[in-house]
Amino acid sequence: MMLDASELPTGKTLTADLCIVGAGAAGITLALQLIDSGLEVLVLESGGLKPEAATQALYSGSVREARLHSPPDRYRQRRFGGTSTIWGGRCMPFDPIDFEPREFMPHSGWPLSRAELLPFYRRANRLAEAGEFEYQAGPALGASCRPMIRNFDSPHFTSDTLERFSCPTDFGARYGHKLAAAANVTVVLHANVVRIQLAREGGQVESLDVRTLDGKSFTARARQFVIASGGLENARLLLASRDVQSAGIGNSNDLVGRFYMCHLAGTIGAITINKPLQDVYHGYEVDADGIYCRQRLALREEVQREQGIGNFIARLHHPRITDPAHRNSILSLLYLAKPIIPYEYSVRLHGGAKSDFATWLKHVRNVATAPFDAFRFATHMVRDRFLAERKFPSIIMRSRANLFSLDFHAEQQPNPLSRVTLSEQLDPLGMPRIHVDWRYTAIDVDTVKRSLALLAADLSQSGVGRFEYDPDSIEEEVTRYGAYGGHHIGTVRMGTGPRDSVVDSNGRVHGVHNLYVAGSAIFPTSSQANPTLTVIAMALRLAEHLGGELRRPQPAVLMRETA
Amino acid sequence: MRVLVIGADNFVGRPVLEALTRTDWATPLMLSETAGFDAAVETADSIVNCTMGRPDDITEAAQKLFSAATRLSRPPPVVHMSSMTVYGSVRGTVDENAATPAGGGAYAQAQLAADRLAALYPQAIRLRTGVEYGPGCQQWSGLIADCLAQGRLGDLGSGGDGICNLLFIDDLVTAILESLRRPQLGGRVFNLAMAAPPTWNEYFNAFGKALGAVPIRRISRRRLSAEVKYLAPPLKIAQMLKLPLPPPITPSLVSACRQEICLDSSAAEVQLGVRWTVLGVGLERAAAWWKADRRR
Repeated sequence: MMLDASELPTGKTLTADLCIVGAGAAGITLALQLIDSGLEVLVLESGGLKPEAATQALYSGSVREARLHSPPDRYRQRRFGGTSTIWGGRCMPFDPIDFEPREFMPHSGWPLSRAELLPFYRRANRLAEAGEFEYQAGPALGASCRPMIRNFDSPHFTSDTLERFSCPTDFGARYGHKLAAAANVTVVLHANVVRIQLAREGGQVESLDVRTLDGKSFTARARQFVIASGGLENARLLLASRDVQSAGIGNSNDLVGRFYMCHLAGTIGAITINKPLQDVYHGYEVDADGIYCRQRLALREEVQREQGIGNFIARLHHPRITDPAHRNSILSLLYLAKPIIPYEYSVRLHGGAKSDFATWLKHVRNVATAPFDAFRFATHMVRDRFLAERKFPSIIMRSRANLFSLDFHAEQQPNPLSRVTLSEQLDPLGMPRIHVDWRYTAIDVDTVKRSLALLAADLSQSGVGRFEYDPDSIEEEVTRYGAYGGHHIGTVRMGTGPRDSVVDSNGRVHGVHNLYVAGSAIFPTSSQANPTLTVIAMALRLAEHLGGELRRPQPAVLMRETA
Repeated sequence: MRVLVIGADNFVGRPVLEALTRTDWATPLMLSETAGFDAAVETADSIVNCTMGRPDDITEAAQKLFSAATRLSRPPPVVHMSSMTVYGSVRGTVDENAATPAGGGAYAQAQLAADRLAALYPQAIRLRTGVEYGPGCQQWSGLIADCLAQGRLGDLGSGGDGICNLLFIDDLVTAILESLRRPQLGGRVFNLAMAAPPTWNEYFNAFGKALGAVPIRRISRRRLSAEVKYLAPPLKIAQMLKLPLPPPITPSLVSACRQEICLDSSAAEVQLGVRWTVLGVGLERAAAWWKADRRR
């Protein structure tokens, strides 16, 4: 069932077995698993079915250094479907090494192994509409798979792993009908949770305070609660609920909001492959399920250990768009199309570079010199991206000279000084706004520096090509766009005990027996991988855990307290 | 035992007739071989009604059959093929005790009327079938395969989350023969569909792969509604005129693909001893039949 908070009388108390805060990829995944479970599930979603400016503005906050981090109301969506309404769809699991404690990576190690997550990854892949859970190029694509660079045997990198692409699936649009039809699930839209109310002794959540933007307030009571409102908002809600635990819920050791990671990413240098054009392929393949897949250069696990650096991947990429010297009509067309490309994507396409009229004219000239190429490209984008439900994932531009730049994506170390806190400012619902102080470390930059050097050496030693870049520009490049947008990781970290973590391996807040956190906030480390697939896998795992917990007979004392 | 098969010329009747011929206990009879309907009913020891096609044919055959059979001094056992459409647009798991609401399209109404006539005849066993697939099944194998090969069906996204209650044609034939051998079950109803059925998306995906129609295409909601709205009416007319044009994707197919109804057929397993053909095996056989059929 789906209803709007405006239909509820003020002061009402909603009750359920399980209350989920937030209907994004994690919250919707959880609720889907519990359809027809016999449990009453209540999902509280702040937004509506469409984007609304006033609701979205509840996300705004401040940033310590604007150059390093996007405004907090960007790259996340406060509406039914959450940020899955705008994500890019790139799926890949975390690697086994990401789960291990690594001596060279402070604060690393998950309280579960990748093997424990594997069965959930398989189902997560399906739910994300990314096909089979098969991330090796050979088995996934069979004979049709073209090697990225033929005969490139790199001792440090493998190009055998894939990234797969979701439609990208908007979890609200895709699965909302199932929640709406389910008799045991109630989704309430426009319901903003402003406070988690703990029982006086602090060991359990009693209720949630819920408000609407039009001034209504009501209460939600349940046996178990899951906060699934996103990597930044989860920390905000815990920190803002401080009437029983004065530092915020789960924050007695000052860990909530800390260890905030995104990824370090950038596009750098010039790669020349001195092989025939057909020996290099950097575009997408399509598997039998119709899923777009792409090979990538992944830093081998043994090399990470040997070098003592973080996880890292790279892709061959087209030259920088902003500089008209590429003389490519299609890249210039993209430059000119900036006003119609969504902010979240145009930032990385165009960079922060100031454009002037002369540059603009040069791009117009590039388009004019090869209008047919530009027209063909525009047709492809309209047909395969704008009109298609399974969208062509990104722009693939082939250089006839076998020239590429390198697009990379690297792990960030968990750093307690990188954090989100509450600001003095209040939002219209009276909740303190968020303040973001994202930082990167020397280890982060070193991961990129040494990986690039290894790749350059491998390319030249194997004789397939060369990679030229300015090693001194690396730090500038990784901070050009600041933290990678949309990957909000680590603010409610998972671990074995309260001294160094906020939640346990199931996502349960240490010391609060009926409060769980879902989403990338609980990841202790960030991997090279985009977080969404792991968010979904962890939510599936949590659903199984909660299903068991809620079916267990309750101790009489708890029954009385929650009654 | 002389078994009269009504509807012996359709894709269910034909294999039933063949299967009866192979037994050592039955002698199949067909309507066309005999003088008249009533005479045929009178001659038979048992009757199988698997009339299909237009709604009027379904109700008319049931009316004629049950009124003729009732008039006899010893009314013979009848195995009446009904359909899951009698359950209407309900959601969830449905066993034989579920309500059979009035309404729905002409086909569903006809099936319901026939099912209710059969219910009044104590010697009738009703078999409420799911989605028949396999060799010879034009509607759910042949035409689906055509659309998959043409890239007009595939992954329907949320439009294909409904449950596809597949029933392999051999399993249906088995169920009919087993019902004939158990006249003591007269008055009983059995759902017939495989256990743990796939969604329609899963059916299209697995069948597409069995046909070699890969990669499976994502069919956007926009495209599907355009098919139903603009292409289906002329293609339906072309189909009726037997013109060599692609099959229509009808509104009823599109709504079936959305319906999350799951037939509980466990009673048929217990009472009739039916074992469901594994999906992969059934799809391979359907694909082999389709390839041979379309070559002709």
